[in-house]
Amino acid sequence: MAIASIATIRAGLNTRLATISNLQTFAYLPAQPPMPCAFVGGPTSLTYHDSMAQGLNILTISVWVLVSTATPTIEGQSDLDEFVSSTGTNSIRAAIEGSTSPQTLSGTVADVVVDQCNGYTIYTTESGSYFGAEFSCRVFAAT
Amino acid sequence: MAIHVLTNASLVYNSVDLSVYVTQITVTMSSEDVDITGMGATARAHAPGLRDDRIEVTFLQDFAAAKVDATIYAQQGGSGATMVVKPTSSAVSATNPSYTMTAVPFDYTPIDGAVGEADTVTVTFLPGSGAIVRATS
Repeated sequence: MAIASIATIRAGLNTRLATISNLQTFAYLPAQPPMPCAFVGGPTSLTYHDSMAQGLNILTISVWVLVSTATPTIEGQSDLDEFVSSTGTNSIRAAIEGSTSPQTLSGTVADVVVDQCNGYTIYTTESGSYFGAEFSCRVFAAT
Repeated sequence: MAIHVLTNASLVYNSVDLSVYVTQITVTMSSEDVDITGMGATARAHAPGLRDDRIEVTFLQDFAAAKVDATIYAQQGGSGATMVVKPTSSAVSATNPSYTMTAVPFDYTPIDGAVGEADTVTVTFLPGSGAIVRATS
């Protein structure tokens, strides 16, 4: 088996995110993000030689969740609290890692670990302002 | 001058290619130091004594059949199986020599790591008999 492509990893993470109800999910940053949404932001680091013969690459890849501030402020923050929680039906971490270990994204990688969540704040773009947060995921892509 | 960077070292143990699991490998060909200094000498003289070779490997763990754990555990406490290490996966040649040893695993720790980290196991292989043999063809 070859190392999974980044496109495959994006698709696998998006499939995991889509297990959260009432959350629109994307493998790439959407042009006009609907709220609430989560998307795979892309690799922030990639190491190619974690074992001999290209046996293992480790990607650190970001996942974002955005919640509209058009809703009352407390409600938006409350929604975001649920997404960044470690457990619960709306937990991004729980959705990505799933209930099985290792999480292989349908057999395409060796494992996925959601290491941390950062940047819980308001993001302003041309299309509006959103509560959001960034998740850092480590993907063990093995042959 | 060509400097060798290890990215594609080959390790085959008991006919199982475990190369893709290897993150670190050290092949040591060592001899005991025998002092052969005679009377009247003005400096110590040394001669190589018995060979005492070893191969130390750090693996990414895999508990699937015929992978890392199964292959190593099968040799635990035995008389050893053939291990062949090469600088690259290419055929053996003068510039890609093989180092072959009848290897017995010692100090095997099948589970070793911190939470959220890859399970990496370091194993020291010692010769069940003989020494490491270098070949170029």
